[in-house]
Amino acid sequence: MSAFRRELHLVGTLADLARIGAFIEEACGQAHVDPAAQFDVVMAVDEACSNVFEHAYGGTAGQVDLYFETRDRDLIITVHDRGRPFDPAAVPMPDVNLPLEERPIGGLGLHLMRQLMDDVSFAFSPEQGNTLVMAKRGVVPGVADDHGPG
Amino acid sequence: MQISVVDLKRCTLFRVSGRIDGSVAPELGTQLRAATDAGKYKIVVNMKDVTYASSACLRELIGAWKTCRRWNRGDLYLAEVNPNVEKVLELTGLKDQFKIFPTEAEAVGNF
Repeated sequence: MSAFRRELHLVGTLADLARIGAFIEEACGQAHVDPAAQFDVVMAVDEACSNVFEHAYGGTAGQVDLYFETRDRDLIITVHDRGRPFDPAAVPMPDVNLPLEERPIGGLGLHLMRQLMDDVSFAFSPEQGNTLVMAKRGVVPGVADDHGPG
Repeated sequence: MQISVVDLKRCTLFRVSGRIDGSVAPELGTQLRAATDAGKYKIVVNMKDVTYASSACLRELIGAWKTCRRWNRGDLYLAEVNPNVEKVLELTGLKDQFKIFPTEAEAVGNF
């Protein structure tokens, strides 16, 4: 399958999460992403964008640029914002083995992104802002899959 | 997201439906806190019609769960959790922490 690419650019808030989810669902359908992987992708993007609106922009409206693209059999999602710099190392990862009474509330969004996607990487530059790249591997039909029977 | 709250003899029943993401989860939290602030610490949350639940939803449920269970005064059960929500609970290690019932009646009856 030839490379597929869609973009969504918006100045948004948490209220736009449903719109973003619909964009990702539609793009997954158009790119023939494995249905078993679609929920993972939709959720990972929702968690990522929630963090952008809540933390990078502190609840105020902010520019978010989403890129949905396929490379061979892989799906690559890029989320770009110009909010406060994000350092993933500063987020305490939840200890999912701790009893709930002892667990602090928080860090679940980033944890879910890392569980649902195969690669999650963050970068920040003063010029570009925050760039998050997430990959889900082997979920897009490859070129060979386009060949018919016989 | 839609929430209905019913006070039963044994507990307070929350029936939640729709999409629970970061934009609406705080409202769920507000309603759960209204119940616990009124001294209602036995809560069932029926999630049968929840189409999507993000970590924001889980945070509100965890917060209410902790409040209910403080000093052994109550608990918060989940009922009729669909496979996608169950997956999220599993990934966050919460599936074995919350008591989850296949039906609302069983959850309510467990109080």
